[in-house]
Amino acid sequence: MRRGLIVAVIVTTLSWGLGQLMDKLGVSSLTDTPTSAAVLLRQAMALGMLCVWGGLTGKIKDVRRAPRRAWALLAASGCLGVAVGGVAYYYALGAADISAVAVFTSGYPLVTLVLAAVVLNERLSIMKVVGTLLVLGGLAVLMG
Amino acid sequence: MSAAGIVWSVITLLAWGGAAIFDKLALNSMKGLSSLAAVIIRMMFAVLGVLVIALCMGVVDEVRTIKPITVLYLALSGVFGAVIGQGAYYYVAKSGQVSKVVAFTAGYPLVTVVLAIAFLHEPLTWRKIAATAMIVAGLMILAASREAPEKPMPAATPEPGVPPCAGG
Repeated sequence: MRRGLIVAVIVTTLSWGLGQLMDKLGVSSLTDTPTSAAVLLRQAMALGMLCVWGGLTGKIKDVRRAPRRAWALLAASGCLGVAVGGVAYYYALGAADISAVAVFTSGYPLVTLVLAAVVLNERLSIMKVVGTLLVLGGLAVLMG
Repeated sequence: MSAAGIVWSVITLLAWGGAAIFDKLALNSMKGLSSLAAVIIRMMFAVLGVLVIALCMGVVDEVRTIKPITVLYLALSGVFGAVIGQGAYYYVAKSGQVSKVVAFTAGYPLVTVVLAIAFLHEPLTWRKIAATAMIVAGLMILAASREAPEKPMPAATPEPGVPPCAGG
């Protein structure tokens, strides 16, 4: 891999890890404020940042060009993944250690894998089964 | 992990995992359009969704009572997760080596664990070490076994290893 690519991979990984730490610090600093109010503020700020980014790069124009089917599917994804998932994630952060929650919830591709096989008829290879078993084992260890 | 922690984490796991299917179907219908546009549309509905949840719980007004330090942490979460992390991810995804790159970035929970131990002084137990090693190894194998994309293009939505909440 080129040096620039390696740096970008490191920045990506560190940023996601740091982002989760900030989530935990944010939840921990809530006193009387309900968690869902904090999630609303966090997602609204993230939307603002993404719009600025889209505006600066000129890619925000593609929002209007997206077909209705994409809008409907992304609406379902946003409501389920970011709204429901986001609120549940912040409640989990308030109830357990971030090191446990971050590791536990990182196993979500497993759910996607199963749904992709059932809903989209995607093929399951031996490597995917091995990876799945490892993730399931890790989740079991964490829950036990 | 407490019972409440497990219940909320399982709901998170199911919601994130299920949402990725909608993301994939949406991307298939957005050929030739920017993946950032997909992220923005998704986040618009996410804010609407959280607003509905907050309205149902009657807590929208409470946003005004959030302390400045909390606002700072939440803003930094957005900066790291949605802007810097996602931006760097687009850069590496453009290289066309998505499968290889995702296998590396799947290790982000390790970063969170190390940071939590260093800054929040959370206890490091053998159980956490074993679970982290197994899950990260499993995610890396899953990511590496993904089929190569048809053409090099940035992935708009969570590949294995991308936290949907932190990733915007």
